[in-house]
Amino acid sequence: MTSLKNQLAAGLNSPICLTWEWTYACNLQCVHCLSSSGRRDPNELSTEEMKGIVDQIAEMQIFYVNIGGGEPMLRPDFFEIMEYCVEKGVGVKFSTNGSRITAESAKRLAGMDYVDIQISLDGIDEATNDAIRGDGVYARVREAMNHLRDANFGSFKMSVVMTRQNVAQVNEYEALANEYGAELRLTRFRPSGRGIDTWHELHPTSQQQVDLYNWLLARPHVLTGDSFFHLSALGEPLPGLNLCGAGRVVCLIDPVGDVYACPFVLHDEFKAGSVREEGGFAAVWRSSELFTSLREPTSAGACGSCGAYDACGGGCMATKFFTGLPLDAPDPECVFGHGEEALAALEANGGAVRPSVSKDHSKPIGVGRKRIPVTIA
Amino acid sequence: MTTTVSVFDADRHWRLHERVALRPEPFGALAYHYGNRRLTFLRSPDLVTLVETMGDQPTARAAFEAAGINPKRWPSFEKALASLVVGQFLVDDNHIPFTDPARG
Repeated sequence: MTSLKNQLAAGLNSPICLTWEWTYACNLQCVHCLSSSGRRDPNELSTEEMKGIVDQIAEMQIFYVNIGGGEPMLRPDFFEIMEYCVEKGVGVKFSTNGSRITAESAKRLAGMDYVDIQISLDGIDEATNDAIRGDGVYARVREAMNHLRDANFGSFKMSVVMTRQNVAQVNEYEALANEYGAELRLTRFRPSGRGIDTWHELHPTSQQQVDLYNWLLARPHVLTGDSFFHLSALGEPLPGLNLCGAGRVVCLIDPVGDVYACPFVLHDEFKAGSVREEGGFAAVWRSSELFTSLREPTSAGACGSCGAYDACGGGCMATKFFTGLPLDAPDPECVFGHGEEALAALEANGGAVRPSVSKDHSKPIGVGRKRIPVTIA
Repeated sequence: MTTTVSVFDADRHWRLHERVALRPEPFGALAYHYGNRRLTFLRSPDLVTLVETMGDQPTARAAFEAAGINPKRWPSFEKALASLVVGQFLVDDNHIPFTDPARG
């Protein structure tokens, strides 16, 4: 590791990248939802509590936050809190499914400084997208993108989670983003939330991962949120920090104010504390037991003898955890196949024990939600 | 990146862009540009001192001297400053200050 990487791994005064989910409510029920969203939680933070967090974010000089959910635009105070962030000099990038981006709200968003939008699309056509995100969603998201363009919002981000079904469409996503003057963002599918059950069928094959690595290497302008650092074991590192930032450079505040090590580990085991406790978010970030332990040097574990460990750091903690692997095991998508071997060994030993979601806000099956294959360990 | 060095002339006056904020961190500082939303690392405390004081000095070279930086280290600092120029974190006197938050 470089000295900068070492220092980042040991923790910072404030996170570089803070994800803040504003609600568990969502009108969609995507099969890969990392937060198992659907129904609003009755204990969600009030407007006043939300503003208190914005104050603390500004004080900690966290320059911008990534807002997600659920669908953040479903909060009745969405614009009020957005405007409060802008007023406090906290830049906002919010992630949306686009269903609430009308001609009117697009104009309002275009008029706000420091606001960036990331709109989710998981297929270049209706068949591919709607299989993941639900019937009719493709048409709606294209409409939302049209509204942003018509309102002269400027460059927004078009974000695609890479699956076995859509990874071959990367060139078409690039063309579509260009058509809208948007930036393309591709991210790794992790087996979190409802993805615990769907990941095994939907995650890209090893050949697809190699193809994607080469494609990304040739396009450093494509954003990835540093999510494909496990692929850097293939050779030249992908742009970015190439390390697991959980509790070190990133963390997540959920809609009820609980703080987790990263957006992909919404599970009791990775809960560091709550913003509702004494000292608020800053105290959790700076002195929680969990974050302190995540900043300790880690053991290479099963990857100790691999020459690529420095490049990939053993991969993604969340992906290991939710597939039932120990945290010092190889990443399930290890480019040398060690993760697949480790998963196969678990199966041979009586089956992987996969953690289940600690807070499931999914709507009941039948309420706009497709039945997804469920594997009970 | 050697190609970026040419954009930085140590005999000119440079200063931080008015929309750049610095946050002290153990390794130096994190710099954020509210205008172009770029984030970058200033990888040493000396570099932080330098960029904070450059605006008050007539030239970058004078700023190096004022910050007490060993001339042997100047080339590596020039490289770091050049990449800050590319990211518009540092601007020269031709820069027109930001006035209107109009979206591009």
